Amino acid sequence: MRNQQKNDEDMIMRHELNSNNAATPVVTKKWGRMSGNNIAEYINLGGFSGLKNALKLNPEDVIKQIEVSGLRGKGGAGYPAGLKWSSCAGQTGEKYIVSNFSNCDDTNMIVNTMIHNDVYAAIEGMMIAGYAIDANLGIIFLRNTQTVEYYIISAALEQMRFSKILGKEILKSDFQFDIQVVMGKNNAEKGQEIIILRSLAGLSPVTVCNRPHAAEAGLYGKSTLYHSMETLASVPAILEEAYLETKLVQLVDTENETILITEVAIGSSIGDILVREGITTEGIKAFSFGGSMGALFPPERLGMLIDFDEINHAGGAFGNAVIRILREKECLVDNVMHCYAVSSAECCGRCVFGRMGTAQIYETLKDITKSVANRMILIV
Amino acid sequence: MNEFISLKIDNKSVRCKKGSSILEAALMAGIYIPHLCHHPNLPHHEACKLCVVEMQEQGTIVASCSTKAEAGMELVTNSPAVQKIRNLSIELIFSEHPADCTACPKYLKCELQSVAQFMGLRGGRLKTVGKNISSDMRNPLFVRDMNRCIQCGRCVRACEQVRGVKVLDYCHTEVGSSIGIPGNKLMGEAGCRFCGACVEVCPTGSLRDKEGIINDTVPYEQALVPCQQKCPAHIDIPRYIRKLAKGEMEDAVAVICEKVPFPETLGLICNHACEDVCRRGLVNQPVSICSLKRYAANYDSGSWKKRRIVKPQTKKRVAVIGAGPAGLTAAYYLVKQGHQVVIFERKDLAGGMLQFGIPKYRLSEDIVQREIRDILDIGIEIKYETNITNPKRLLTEGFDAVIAATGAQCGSALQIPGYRSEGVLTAIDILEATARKADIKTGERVFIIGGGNVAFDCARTLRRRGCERIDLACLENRECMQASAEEVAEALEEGIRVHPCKTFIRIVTDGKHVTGVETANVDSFSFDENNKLQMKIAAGENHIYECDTVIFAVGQKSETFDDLCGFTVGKANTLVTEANSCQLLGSDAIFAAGDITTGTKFVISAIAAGRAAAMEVDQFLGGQGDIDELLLDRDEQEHFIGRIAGFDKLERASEELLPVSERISGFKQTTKAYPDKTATAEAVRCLQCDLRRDLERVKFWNSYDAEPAEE
Ligand code: SF4
Ligand code: SF4
Ligand code: FES
Repeated sequence: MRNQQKNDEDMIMRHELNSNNAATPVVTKKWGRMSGNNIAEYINLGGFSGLKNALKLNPEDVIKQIEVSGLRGKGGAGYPAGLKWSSCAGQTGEKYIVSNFSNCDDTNMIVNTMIHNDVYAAIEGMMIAGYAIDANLGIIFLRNTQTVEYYIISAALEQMRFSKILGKEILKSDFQFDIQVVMGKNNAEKGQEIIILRSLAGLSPVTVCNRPHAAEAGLYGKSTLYHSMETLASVPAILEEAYLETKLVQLVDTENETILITEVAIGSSIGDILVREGITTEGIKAFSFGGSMGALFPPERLGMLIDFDEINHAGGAFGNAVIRILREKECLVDNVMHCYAVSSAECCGRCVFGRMGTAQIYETLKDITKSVANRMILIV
Repeated sequence: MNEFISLKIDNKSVRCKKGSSILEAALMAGIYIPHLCHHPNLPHHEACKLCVVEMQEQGTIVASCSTKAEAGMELVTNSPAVQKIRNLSIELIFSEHPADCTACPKYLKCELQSVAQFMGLRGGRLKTVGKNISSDMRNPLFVRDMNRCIQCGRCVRACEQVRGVKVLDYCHTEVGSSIGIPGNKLMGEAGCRFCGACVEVCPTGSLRDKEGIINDTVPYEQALVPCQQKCPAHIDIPRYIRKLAKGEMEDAVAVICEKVPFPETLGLICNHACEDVCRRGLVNQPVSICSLKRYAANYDSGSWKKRRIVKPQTKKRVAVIGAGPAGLTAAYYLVKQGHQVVIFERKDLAGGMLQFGIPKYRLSEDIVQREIRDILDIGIEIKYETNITNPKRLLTEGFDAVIAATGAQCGSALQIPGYRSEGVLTAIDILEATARKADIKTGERVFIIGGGNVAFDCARTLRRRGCERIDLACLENRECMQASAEEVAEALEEGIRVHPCKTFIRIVTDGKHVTGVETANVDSFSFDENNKLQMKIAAGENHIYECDTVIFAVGQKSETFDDLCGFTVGKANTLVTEANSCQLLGSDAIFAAGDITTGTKFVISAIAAGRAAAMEVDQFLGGQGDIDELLLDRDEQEHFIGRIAGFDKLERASEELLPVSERISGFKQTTKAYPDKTATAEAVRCLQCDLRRDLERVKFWNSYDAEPAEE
């Protein structure tokens, strides 16, 4: 499964990802086998059988299966999905399922690639979750820049409604579920769970400290199950067959003009993945995990495993699984400086450290690269 | 039930309500912790991190504004670790804040400046990351100088969570986040309701009232609500208008009656100075405050009287001379204070100018007499056709105090040659005779001298009495005429000929009777330091207007007593009072209120004077002078005003005016009260300036027990 492109734009346009190379295709199982989010093809490839199986079970049993599978939230923190589901299921009153089908970092193309290659898996996962926790409304959130994706998802939902897979009496059961796609009103509305929940509720798009768990008080203060798109896309497989926890990663090797997205089993080592994907590990000066939110590592750490805890503990950002290879020609300081430029521009803007602290670090690094820095600044 | 808990802050035991934040607990106990993004009326936000404190036991540092105080906590507000974070935070804040404090209109009133002063630190070590945004002056009422914004988010929270309007928000561009209006729209376009909450909570000079909007000659709280401040009786205008917007008409009347006993009368004839200063006027046109009062009064069922307090009898007796608006108001409030009041009225009907001065097409007799009955019903005794010649004598007849409120009812005349000829009258003569439906002889061609409301009242009254040819001339030019613009316009429609910029040389007679008035054109005029009129007469010949009746409408003199009892008489026969008091100069228990002390003024001024006299006399008689009352409780939910489509564009409604032919054929009210829909729509236009008063003013460090850092 590889795809070498000159630049990011092409990458988004073509999605010719060959899934045969994936070691263990779970989320990418149907990628490259549909002519573009066609519902008939999805069904022919076994789509919605996870939902069908779920509807045959009690909601509690569905949750049990999720618990047993060991599925963890792939958006970052790796919180066990089963726990989230059962805590939502334990709540009364109206409930929502909210998922963010966008990336907060512009260089991360994993989510858009998922949308273009197979949007149904995540939708199916959302519906299974809805059945399990007794919610009737799912909301898919998109950034204000994702116009094409908005149309793709809307069309997919339309096809599902037409095929009686969405709405009332889903698959001839008495399960009822609908999904809305909502696009952010401005580009401040993006990123983290709390920002998205607040945006949806018409509140200013900033983070909040000391807030209750979304399962207890999420959207409009109601119990809300929030998952990343990738987590939801993993759900159908759990109800279909034996499941293995995987992660979609984006490999970027700028000097070799390579950007590719691949699905790897949790616990694979980064070095091995590079080798399997034909990216040479010779001449690596450093690599980063997590884009502008992550960290830089020396080549000795290539043995690091793709694993929630390992990556996060090491300072990477597991949710933003972009692995960038830096070779001889690239400057590490420039790279870090760029990360801070992005962080300061993209931060929600609420707290002064996030906003001005990152800006200050960026300015300082800029001075350092120009050799005009004042050492006073380093005394904190 | 409020549960209290105890904790220790800086080794001091502090008690606070359960559920308060550490910051609230500390401030309550007089311990100052620097803070900027926190505001008592807003949800916590944890943006500035200045309020950090250390939890001694755990050694962790938390933001005190968003951490709940818990029993037994031991906190330090200024440990080295805390200082380090706090200092870095203020340095970061100043790294993007312009340094020109003294050039900022918020100088010395700025919370940021005060915090920096407390901390003895401004930054300077870090790199300056300027924003270079120019001030946005495009909006009415407010200036948005976002260069000075520290992104504390208070305005956003106020707009979104306190008001439910959501115009201000965090905006993002390639360079980062900022506070603004998405799409950089004008505030009005974005749905602003111009409540001013954002300006009120902004700690810096970023969001400000435009210069001159807040009248700094009166206390701030009053200046925030200009209409109420300007109203002589200080009627709670925004509150009654809000009630009308909700369709709660009786409640609206209750609010009006908290301050004045003549709601409908005022709704019809008040000169509404409030509208001249209404803030909505700066958005598009002022709110029709007066017409809304009239509308509300139509729904008066008297239900508010249930809450009215009449205090227990004091056994004190007050005599009020004159049953005009001032006298009636004073009597009303004095009875409420428990005193016994007798009004002595020279005429056979109460009301004074309301009854005999204001023409019926503006204020019908039914309304005046109904409202007077309502006032008297509270238990005021009135003696008609009783002329008091010596007020002092009343003190010997069992009264403890006397209020003279005889008004200014003697029409004056200009003493130009011929002013005593036959056929010369005063406006007051005409108006009173008309009110009494009495005969008064006027000719076919009337010439009125004067440009105030009374002159126009007189002209329009004569028109209704069938007079065809009416000329009205005055000294002022069209723009400066004292009569209101509507009055002039309506008079012109009714066929009255208006001649501005004239001075009057003499009244031409045939030896006995008037035949005309000789006038000259005036270029300009002014008053010199002795208040003497200086005129520049225009070149050209004098003009003689032929007429058979001349009417002076050049003001009235106050009506005093046959026996002046040693009172001091001032200009235009007014009685002079002690400074800032209603007590007559050189008298002991004799007070005066209304036109008798001020000369001709407006009805609302007389009412306000009546209130002031009642307060003073009550105090004189041993009371507290507290005549204010709340006839309706304030509603907690009022501050959440939400959005209204096209709010900034809502146009002022005017009352429907009868067609001219119908108007001049009798004494019918010339305008119709608003229909329900119009009234609600008009009421909705109010900016509710008073809501801003409910937001707390943040106290600076120097109002706590705090020691600033050494610089
Ligand atoms: S404009 Fe004022 S209130 Fe609003 S974020 Fe800036 S400093 Fe705070
Ligand atoms: S907008 Fe309303 S509250 Fe403000 S001045 Fe005008 S009438 Fe008064
Ligand atoms: S006041 Fe607590 S963080 Fe600003």
